[in-house]
Amino acid sequence: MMDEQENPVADERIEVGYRNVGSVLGKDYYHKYLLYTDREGNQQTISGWTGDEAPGLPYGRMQVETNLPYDASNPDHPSNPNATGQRQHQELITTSADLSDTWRNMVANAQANDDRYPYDPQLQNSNTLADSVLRSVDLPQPRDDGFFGHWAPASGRTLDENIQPSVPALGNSGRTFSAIDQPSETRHAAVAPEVIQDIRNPDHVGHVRYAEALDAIERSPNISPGTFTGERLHQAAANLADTSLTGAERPQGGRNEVLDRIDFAVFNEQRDGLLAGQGDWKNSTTAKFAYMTAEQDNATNLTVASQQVHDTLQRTQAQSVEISSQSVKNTHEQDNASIGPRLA
Amino acid sequence: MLEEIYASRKPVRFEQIDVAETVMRHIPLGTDKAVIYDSFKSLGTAKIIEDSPDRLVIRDNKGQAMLDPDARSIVMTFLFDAGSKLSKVEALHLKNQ
Repeated sequence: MMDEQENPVADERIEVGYRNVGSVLGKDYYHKYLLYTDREGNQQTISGWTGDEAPGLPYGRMQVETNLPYDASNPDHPSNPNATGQRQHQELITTSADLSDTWRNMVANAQANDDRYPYDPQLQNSNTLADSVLRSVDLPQPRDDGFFGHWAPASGRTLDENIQPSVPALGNSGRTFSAIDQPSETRHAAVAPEVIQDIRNPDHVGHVRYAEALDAIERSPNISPGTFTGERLHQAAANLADTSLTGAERPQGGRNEVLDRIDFAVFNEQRDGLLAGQGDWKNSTTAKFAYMTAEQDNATNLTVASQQVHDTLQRTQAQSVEISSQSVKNTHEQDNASIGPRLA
Repeated sequence: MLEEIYASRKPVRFEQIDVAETVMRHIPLGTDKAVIYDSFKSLGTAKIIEDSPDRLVIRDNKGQAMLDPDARSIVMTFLFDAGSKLSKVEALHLKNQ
């Protein structure tokens, strides 16, 4: 037998679990839940769910399940049929020798929220609940839930009993199906709103793309070190990030491709513009390119470029919801048409 | 077959309704694995989750989780004998959430 000194007790953990429940326009989105692991290795969850449909409540009021053992009987567990085929990710929020009191308080807060708040896929869902419960015990908000990470719509918002929920449709696609529309005072509260407007700040919604651009410029095979320095370097990276997202028309004709990421950055042959690229820069037939003129880069300072990336992402997400909403509408129409057995 | 299941009683909350009998009525024991694989492969809504010599796990989704109030799934596990003939079916009808 081993004593405690030979087998030290592991620290307890509180994590956010992410379950990939679907995708819109090829962009995966996630449902978040809270996961507690005690010193014995026992695991339990807190998770929000849709309720029963009622007049004015197409998804019912949010149902909150607390202290469910995290095993095959748990609908968030990878072994449960509900999670079959869905990728999962976990983000550590805090670790300590004893988090039992913290978890107890989280459970109490979550239970107080049960069957109280109208569920709305775009404004108030399981992701809103998970963040709200973390805030109730002063734990940090998750950071992996942004549009370029494990996108968890409606994250960071404040729970609101007065929300009037709706099924996503063309008429309300302007509502933001995203992690960036929450009131700034409730999300990453330590960061002042004006700071988040700077794309260099990790809380800026486009920071990851900017960081890819910056890294690509610094690794570029034909942009000599020192070509861009100081704030001018950050400006170029921010402008290149925006160029990679917008799919704008090129001055010489044609249209930029919209990149999923920036793998490289190079000067064009005339060295009067920058190309952001995805794929292998040596293979022009398979790589995707987005071109930005030097003139455009020079004319757009870092502040404006940060704002443009923010606005571009807002538009992209609104369009995603619009198309997704149309898809939901089409599904309903197809169901109503009674097309018969799909599999003999 | 899938439409028949989706038209049947809807699962409530975390309920997982056993629909193996319905599946076996359409895909009887003894069916070749390749026939089953090809049937589902051609469906846009079905996803093959696991494919090994003795096991095929398939998930069919109707509607998008979180977005569609009536999003549901059918999760099917097909087990095969050494001759790749269907020997057992497990199938559940659940809310996709």
